[in-house]
Amino acid sequence: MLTLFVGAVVVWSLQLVAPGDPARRVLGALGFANPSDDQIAATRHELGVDMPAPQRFLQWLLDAMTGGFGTSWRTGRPVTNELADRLPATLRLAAVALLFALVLAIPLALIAARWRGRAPDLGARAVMFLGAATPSFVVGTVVLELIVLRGGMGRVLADGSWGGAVLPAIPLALGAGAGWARVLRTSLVEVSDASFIQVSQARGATALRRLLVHAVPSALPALLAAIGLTVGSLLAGAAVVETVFTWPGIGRYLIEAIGARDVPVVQATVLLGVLGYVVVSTIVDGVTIAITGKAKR
Amino acid sequence: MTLIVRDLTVSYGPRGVSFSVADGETVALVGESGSGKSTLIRAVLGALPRSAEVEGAVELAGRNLIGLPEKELRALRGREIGYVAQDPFGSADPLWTVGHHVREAWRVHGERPPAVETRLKILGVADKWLKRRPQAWSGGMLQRADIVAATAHAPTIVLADEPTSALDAEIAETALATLVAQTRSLLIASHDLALVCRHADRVLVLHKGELVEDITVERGGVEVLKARARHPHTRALVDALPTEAPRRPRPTGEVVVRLDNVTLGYRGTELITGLDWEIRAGEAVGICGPSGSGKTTLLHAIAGLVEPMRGAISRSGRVMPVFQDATASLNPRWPVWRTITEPMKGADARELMDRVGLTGVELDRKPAQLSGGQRQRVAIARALAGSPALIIADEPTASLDPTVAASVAETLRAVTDSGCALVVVSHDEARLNQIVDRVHRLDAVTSGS
Repeated sequence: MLTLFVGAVVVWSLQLVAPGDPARRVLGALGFANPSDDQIAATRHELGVDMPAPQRFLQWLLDAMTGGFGTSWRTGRPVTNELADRLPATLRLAAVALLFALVLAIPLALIAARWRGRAPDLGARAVMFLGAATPSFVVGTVVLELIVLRGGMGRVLADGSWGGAVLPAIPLALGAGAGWARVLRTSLVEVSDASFIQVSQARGATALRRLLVHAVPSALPALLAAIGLTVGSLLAGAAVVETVFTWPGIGRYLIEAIGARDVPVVQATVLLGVLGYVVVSTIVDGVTIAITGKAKR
Repeated sequence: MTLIVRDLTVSYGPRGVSFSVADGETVALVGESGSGKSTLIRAVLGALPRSAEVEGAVELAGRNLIGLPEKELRALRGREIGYVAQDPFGSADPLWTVGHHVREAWRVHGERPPAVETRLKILGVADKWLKRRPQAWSGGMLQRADIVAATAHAPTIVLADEPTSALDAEIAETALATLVAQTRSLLIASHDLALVCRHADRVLVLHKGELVEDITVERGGVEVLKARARHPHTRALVDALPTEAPRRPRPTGEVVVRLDNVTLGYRGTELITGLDWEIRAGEAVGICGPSGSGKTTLLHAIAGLVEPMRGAISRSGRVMPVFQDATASLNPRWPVWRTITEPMKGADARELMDRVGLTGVELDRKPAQLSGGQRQRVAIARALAGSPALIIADEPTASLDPTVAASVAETLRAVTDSGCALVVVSHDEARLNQIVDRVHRLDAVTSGS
């Protein structure tokens, strides 16, 4: 809750430091190139920017709690509606990317840990390194070029459907999955030196059993923590990928809003991102406690 | 012969070691840390790291294990070769129940586990515990569960690497007796000379990777070893066994710490009730008792680090600590003079070093360039630098080799010559008696288990 409140204060304060007069921007968007002083004053009152800052903040916070984020300065539509239109597409993309990333990360890490220090490990680590080091827009462009343009599969203009989410999910999943695989491999390697794993070996357990029965449960909390940290970026930080694939999600909308200095939209989107982080962290903490049986601080 | 080790050489450990273990025999490997005991155990288990170069032969029932493919070794592990690890808590996966841990001994070989409850009941463990995770168990109980798992298939030989070093003295005695009773042939690595001499048929002394002596003790205790030891290193090990320091009369000087009807504990559990105690200048006292009996809590209360639940503690003068792990208690980047003079600017580091027997050691050495015993001496010198009225030491010799522990114990005792009082906590009463004049014994606290 505190995280959310602090996030809200920071996000809202953006408005105070944003350059330009919002009233002029709104009027400009509505087609008044040279508004009169009366028009500006009236619009200022309409937007509520003539009130003192603390009062405006409280008003905004109350509205936000009931789901109202004001009107977009750019389109004049309620921000809530605009976000509601785009949220499903972003969640869809994030879900597909999450799935892809896990499918990539877990086998990669298991292979690397099972044959630690040998060829499969080196290969898996090379993939992890490349995946983590390549920017998502590069991967996105390559995917578009190779699969869509040369391969003739999929479409350049995405429609936000489940099927359309496959291609944009690739660059997202590659970056996140490679990071998770590194985290999981590291903690698998760490735990493989534990005394209880050596005892399991001395009882006659195969390397595979040691890995799956003993090492993986011990290493899972580290992976969950990594997922908790990056899944937020899948939700909100997908901006670049959404732009490359013209995906009709929140990320691209945020980029557009920033470009147009559409403060209410930026505020609402960022606050939504903070909310996403808080929700995901809570889930991750809950699952971790369920696995380890005790809360770690 | 059940096990024959012939000319075994591991690139970083044992060199040309040969010995054998007969059917039904218990053989102990003793030696200081770094003597190659653990490496030898791991070599027989076939669990050395890939990088280790191994020469020689390890024959189990006529079959050489060295160079055997992993698949065949795996089939032997657990069935023909049992293994008991050092720390029972470390050897059970904390995320699974102990029942899972014990039954794994069968599952790894694709067998249905039999009723392990009855096997544990024979060793005095109630079956309700099997559904709990290791952290709910006591060390002694968990070690018994480990013994059940290690002897699941009645292996020809059981290897045990320091199986009792994580246990309290009394529990260690019964745990080792149980282990000997449950196994046919047993090869046990230990640093506890007195303990293994009471339970082993033969004692093999390792020194810097070489087998220097093979002594038949026939479970006769350390006296037999003393009488039969020939090699100088064996003699050194025997001499390092704790001997009781001469009892000095209680000094009549100033009272440094007074405990007045003190009750200690935490979260509502009383560990120590209504304790009256006086510690006088120049006195050396010890606190002894099993784990969980409140030794460290009492020491911390004396130092003023924890508040008593009831009663009053009065102190006069400064209290300085010496810790168990000297390596962790010294800043690795500081030369020793800086560590020693930290409590008191302008203290004479050279003089303090001489007092703790570090005469030949230069002042600008870093902890990494010192041995474990020297590091603990630096820690004692640092404690002395504060010209304290009282030095408190928590298990100051527990992580040292016996030969080193003996001389550090003497250094500690000597700090009282200058009138400083000394309180030492240890689970090892024999070692404690080498340092102090009186021992305050704490009883085990009966908790919910």
